[in-house]
Amino acid sequence: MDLKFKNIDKKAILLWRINGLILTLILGVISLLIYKIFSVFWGNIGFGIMGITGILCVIIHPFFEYKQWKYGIFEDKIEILHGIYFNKHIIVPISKIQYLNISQGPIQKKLNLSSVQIFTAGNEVEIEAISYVESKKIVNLINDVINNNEVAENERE
Amino acid sequence: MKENKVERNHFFTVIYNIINSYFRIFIPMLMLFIFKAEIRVSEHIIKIFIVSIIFLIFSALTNILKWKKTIYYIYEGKIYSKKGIFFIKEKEIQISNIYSVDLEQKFINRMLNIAKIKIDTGNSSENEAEIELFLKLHEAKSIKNKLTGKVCNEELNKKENLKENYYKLDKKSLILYGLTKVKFGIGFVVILTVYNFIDDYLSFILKDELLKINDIVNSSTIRNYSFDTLIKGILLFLILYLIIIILFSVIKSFIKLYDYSISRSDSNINIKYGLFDVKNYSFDVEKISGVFITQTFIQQILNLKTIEVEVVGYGNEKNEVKVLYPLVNENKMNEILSNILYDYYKVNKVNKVQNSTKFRFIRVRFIVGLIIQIILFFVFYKFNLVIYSSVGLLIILYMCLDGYFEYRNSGYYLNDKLIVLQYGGFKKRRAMVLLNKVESAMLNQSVFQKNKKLNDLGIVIQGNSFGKEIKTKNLNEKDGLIIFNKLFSN
Repeated sequence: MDLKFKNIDKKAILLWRINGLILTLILGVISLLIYKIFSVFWGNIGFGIMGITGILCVIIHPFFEYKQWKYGIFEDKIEILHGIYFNKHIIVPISKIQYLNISQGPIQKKLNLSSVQIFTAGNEVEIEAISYVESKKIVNLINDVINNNEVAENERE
Repeated sequence: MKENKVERNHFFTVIYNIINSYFRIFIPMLMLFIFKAEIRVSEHIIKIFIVSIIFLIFSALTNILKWKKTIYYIYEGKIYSKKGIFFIKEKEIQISNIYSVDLEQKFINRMLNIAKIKIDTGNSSENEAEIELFLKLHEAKSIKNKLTGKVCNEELNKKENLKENYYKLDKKSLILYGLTKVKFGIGFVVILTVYNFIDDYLSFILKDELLKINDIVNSSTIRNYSFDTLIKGILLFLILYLIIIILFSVIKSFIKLYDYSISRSDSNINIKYGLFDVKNYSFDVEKISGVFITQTFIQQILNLKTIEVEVVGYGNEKNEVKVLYPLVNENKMNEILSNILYDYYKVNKVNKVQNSTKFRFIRVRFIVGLIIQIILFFVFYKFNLVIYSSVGLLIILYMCLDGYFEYRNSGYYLNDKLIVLQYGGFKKRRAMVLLNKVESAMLNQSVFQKNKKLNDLGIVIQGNSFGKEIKTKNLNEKDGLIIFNKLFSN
């Protein structure tokens, strides 16, 4: 059993910075519209929120988020650790996995990144920003584990 | 019924759909058109009549075609259905994959002895039943029995298990249930609706009275009344308000859950209720992903409980409930659990969270309340500072009390089969989940919790809403970790 947590791809920092920048720009446009159309006061508050979002999401968060993000695929379960203000530790037993998705947005595609979505009957868990090759590997690995488990179960019966 | 015969919905559905579409689609559109174009109805009555006829013929043709194209049959342990005129939807469901089969009779269906049968699988991505059919009652019943793999003779089963596995709610408990489920917000909705109705339709009759009420409501004239009359007025209003919400709640639960009965035969649970619209559900005990004991604030005071279950397909539509048994006391709850849901045996003692977390629960609510206050302040400070600050204080007090009750209610319990998580403030919930039904688990720790060595434990089960988390907050870090690691160790 491979008892090691792995880090996600280092390019994730860049990806999150780009995402943060887009979010900041959208907030900027909305604030500008509010400023021009409704009220100067609320517009200024909007710009304030935009500034804070910009500093946090573009400069500070991505670095720390990357440091926190870890995932491990073990014999019978997948574990994920992430979060800055709220540390989250998630366990998904492999026997409960219904299906897997590899998804890739336009920016992720440019950076050759992808994310693996793991679906159980109750919820969805995502391993963000890993290289496409790695995500293929993960999906194959999990599929193998599921198949092996099934074979073992059939033999037992 | 022969195994491979192609079957269709009852023909009544065609007539029902035609009438329904006429009143739901045609009439409102016509009204809209008349109002917009300012047409006098009396001058164009013949035209309206002709358009109506055309609509009805068109609607009849499409509905008959739809009826003709909607077929189903049962073969080799599968149920097959096909529907749609342009976009054809075919479905084939393994009978062993069916989670719940429900019979539902609306008031009008009951007169014609027709029932709607709903078949659900464990798929929670769509918000409606997988297959819906309208059939004669006896046909629907025989299909239900076929799909749930049960012996046909329901009556016989009932008699055999009458004492142990059959429970019926009496009328007194039902009224009590209504009383304990009073929602304080609903009164505003009722009053607003009534007021709008009066304003729209009766205003020309009650014009003078309404003007008087307006005078009273208008704040500039309030000063003309003495303090005594004002207090009396407010008291009168509060009493009226209470009567309205209590009546509303009792009548609603009476109509909805009238004649509530539950029985278990083999592994099937049967639930039946309703005054006008009778609903009849059955599902396999195996398919239950969690049992919830819920208590509203009034129920907490009276020490009464409601048992709810989470089964995909049960209680996922409008006007449906997830209730397994509406109102029980401690003894009755244990009796029902041991006779009907014996896997979920009674849990006498849950481990409470530490005393020191009390202020953490309250503080979080206080901060949320304060944030709401600050937002409201910007909206209201121009109007009336007194009303703003008194409402604000009440909201903050409510939030803090909710936090305190959540602290008192929070707890957990784990053995080798079952995990129990208890949470919720004014609305207390105890979730009981078999370990093999837990889909995934999470342990959250915020920056503030880290110092105090606390964490939140959450589990996810399969249910009607995707991704809903059951969570107990502020557990001791060690306990949280122990449970977390034990969950999937077997």
